[in-house]
Amino acid sequence: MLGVGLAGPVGGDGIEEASDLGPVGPATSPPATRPWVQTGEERDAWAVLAGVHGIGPVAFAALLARYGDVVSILREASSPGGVARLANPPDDVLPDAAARALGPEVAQAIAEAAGRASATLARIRELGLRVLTVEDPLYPMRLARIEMPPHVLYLLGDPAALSADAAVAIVGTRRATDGGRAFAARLATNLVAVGASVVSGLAVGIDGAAHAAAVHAHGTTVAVIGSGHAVLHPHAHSRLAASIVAAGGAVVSELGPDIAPSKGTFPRRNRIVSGLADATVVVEAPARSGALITASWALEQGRECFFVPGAVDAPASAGCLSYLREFPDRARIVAGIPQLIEDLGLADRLVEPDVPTDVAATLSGIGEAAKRLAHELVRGRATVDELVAATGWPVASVLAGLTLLERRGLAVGIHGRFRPAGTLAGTDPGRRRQRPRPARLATSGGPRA
Amino acid sequence: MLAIVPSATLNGLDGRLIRVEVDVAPGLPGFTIVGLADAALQEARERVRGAIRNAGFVHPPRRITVNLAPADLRKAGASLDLAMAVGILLGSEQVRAGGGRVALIGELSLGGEVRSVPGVLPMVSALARRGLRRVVVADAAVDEARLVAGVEVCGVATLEAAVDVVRARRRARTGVVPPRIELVEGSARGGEDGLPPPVEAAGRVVPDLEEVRGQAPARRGLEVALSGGHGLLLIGPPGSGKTLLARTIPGLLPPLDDAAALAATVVASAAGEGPVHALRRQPPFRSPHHTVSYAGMVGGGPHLSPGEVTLADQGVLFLDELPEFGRDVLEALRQPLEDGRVAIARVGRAAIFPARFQLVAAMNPCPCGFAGSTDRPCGCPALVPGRYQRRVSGPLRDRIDLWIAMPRVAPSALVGGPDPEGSAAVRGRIAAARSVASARPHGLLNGRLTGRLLREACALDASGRRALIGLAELERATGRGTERILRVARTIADLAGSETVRADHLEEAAWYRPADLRLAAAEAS
Repeated sequence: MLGVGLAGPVGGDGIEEASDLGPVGPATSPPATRPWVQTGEERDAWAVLAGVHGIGPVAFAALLARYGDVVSILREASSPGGVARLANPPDDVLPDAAARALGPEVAQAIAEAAGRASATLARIRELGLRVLTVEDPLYPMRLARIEMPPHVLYLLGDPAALSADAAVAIVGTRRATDGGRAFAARLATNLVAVGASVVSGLAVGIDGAAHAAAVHAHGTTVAVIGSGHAVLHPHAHSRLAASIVAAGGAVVSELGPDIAPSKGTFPRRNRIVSGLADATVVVEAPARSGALITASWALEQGRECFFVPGAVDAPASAGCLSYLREFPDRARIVAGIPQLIEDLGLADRLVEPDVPTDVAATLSGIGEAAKRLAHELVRGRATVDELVAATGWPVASVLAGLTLLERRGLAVGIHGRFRPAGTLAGTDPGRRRQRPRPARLATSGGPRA
Repeated sequence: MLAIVPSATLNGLDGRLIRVEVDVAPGLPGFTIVGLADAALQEARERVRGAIRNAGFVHPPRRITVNLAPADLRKAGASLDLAMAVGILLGSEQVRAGGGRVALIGELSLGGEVRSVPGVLPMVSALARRGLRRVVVADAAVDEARLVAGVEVCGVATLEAAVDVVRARRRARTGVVPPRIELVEGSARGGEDGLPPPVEAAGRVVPDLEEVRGQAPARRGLEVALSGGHGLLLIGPPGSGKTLLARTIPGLLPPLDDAAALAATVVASAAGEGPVHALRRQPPFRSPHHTVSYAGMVGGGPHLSPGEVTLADQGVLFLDELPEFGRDVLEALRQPLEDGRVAIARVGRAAIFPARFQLVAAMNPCPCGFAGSTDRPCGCPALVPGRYQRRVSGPLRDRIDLWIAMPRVAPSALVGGPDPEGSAAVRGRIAAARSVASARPHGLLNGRLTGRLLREACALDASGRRALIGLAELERATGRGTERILRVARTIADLAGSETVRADHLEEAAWYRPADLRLAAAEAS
């Protein structure tokens, strides 16, 4: 009964819609082929529809295919009987099974969202969010190329951060070891030094260390969150998120601003992490880690995926090792940061003078005692006891020297173990490969000649 | 006939003179005690009756009324037993007083023996202040009572012996120990050494510092903290030696000076912890279990008993597993840490107890204890260790000047390596540093310096000021953080024998900053 009675009006609405759109959008573009430059109204409609809980890329695409544009979808939802028509498309409209996957409760949610459209848009403005639709010229090309790209990205910060000419995802477990976190931070610092942006998921552990180090090195970093912006998860990283934006990076989500995180949102988010990056590096991942989902997405999307091997008996590296073993031809191994930079094809962008990578250079202008301690820290001595034994100095001098290093951000210590930090973190214990810089040599030689 | 016998009770830490008035009158036999006596005192009737009969006297079959004056003061404990019994004997004219006022303090057994009671020292001192010069106490309490100068003390074992003194058949012994009992404010000063080896409350011998291997920064931090009376917090996994290190403290503290020893002895006497034979020169070391109740920590209860903070007066209060203590218990440390005393008010009664203790605490880095360990993984969820360490907040965080992380010591260091320094050498340096500090005009330990006093004591030169400004960043540039660095640096300079506070002293002091500042720095790098 429903199907017969409503078949007509559906068709009729569609035609009226097209004529309605006339004055708003460019009249030359037919409704079937979407306008290359979206109208403001259509973009707003996308923002409203994508923010509906339960609308993923599949449902969005199916609805879009049925109605041609999103303004029409919302109009249909708020028209009498529209909810039923959204949920049960007549067989002749679209035979695709996916089109009928829309549950009645989702259809109802669309109707409610359509009713609240202006409030939703006001909320987005209030949070300072920017809406990037897949049709937007600023929408990152890397992400548009993946299967099922999010139709809408809600973004806080600079949209250009998503389209850096080199982007590397650093992901890993939330239960990272101190060593894992330190490596993620060093890697992020070095990637920033070669001008790459660092993509990750803002989780605690590896993600947080990578973001924080990138911000610390004044680099661009992109955090893809698995929740709406207003319910940022984990809450403890809200300050980090703010500093990412302040440093010229971006925090993005495909979920509407008030959608709370749930079990499914994080794995879904991971495809965006790998999709926004040219390559993904998994620093530490135990078996069944969420970071491995990101790695799988990267491999599926045809992006490069690197794994930090770790010790064979380290539980935190079990997942990395199993991927290296299972996909020997596609999973790549991280053999040191300089090697990785070379494998990523970023080696020629190394601009050495900007980042003093030599211990001696870093430590110029700091006392002899602190310098000696810095060398010992880089060599891997971690506790004060070890430093006292290595230097033979009284404890008081070691403590005072450590304070100097900490004050300059060259060392950090928690739980009584100290490690190099900042620019000191990227240094090797004294046998760093000097790479020739022909371009620089030529230009510097030029004026003199 | 009416008899009046002076005696004393304990009110908080103060002794109070009590006039025991006994009226033995004709009438129906009975025995009534009036004058706000508590339950234990009401039971005194049975003890007194038994003691009189079994000592060979007659409990008069008359109407006996005992009044305890002043009437508005609540009286507790058994210290008035002896005075009541003697009063009855005098009132029933079985005994005739031999002249001169005699105060009696003691508990009676049914057999007529006289027992000692807690707080003899403050009680005798109160009697002395009120002009009473002859006191009868139990034999076991004679040494304690004789600490009060100018008082004739007579030790008795039985009621009969006490009666002999009252009859003036027996001579009292005169107190010879010089110090006057007056609680005066004052700091501990290094006194004469050569005391017996310090013994913990439980009777265990205090470990020597040479038993602590490795942990150089913690040993150094402990030395600095004890030299300046600074609050100290040790953070480390189980087995890293936190508790062992803390237990060496009694062997590192210099003996108390006269005033401090007197204060400590009064507290020990009132708390009734065993007999007191001499002034307590050994600074108290208290380590209450983390299940201690609010009243157990600050004092209180039905008799206004002193709590752990008072028992640790002039010494060290050690709180092991700090975050496990009740929140209200830790919160209650605020007043004693600020003022050095604790005021306890109950309906109709109030007491102020001294609580000039030094706080030493220990905790694990996280609930499972293994955060940051290299040999065992930490089982806590990612943000929990940071949250656990930040639990030390508010008044405690501000009163702890030295925070020291103690990682586990590598087995090689436990077995090999040079023998560490022993307690005696460290104790000498601590005593020297303390005497330097107390020689300053205000005479306070560095841990109690703030504001103008602190700035005057440090007197930084230009280079020191520059260094301090740089280091203040590490403390998030807060005023409290900067003062913390200055206080500790002053002590470090005292230990080094340096008149001025130099940049390297400030730098070492900044190393002992709170753990949460380091955690924040590590998260941001």
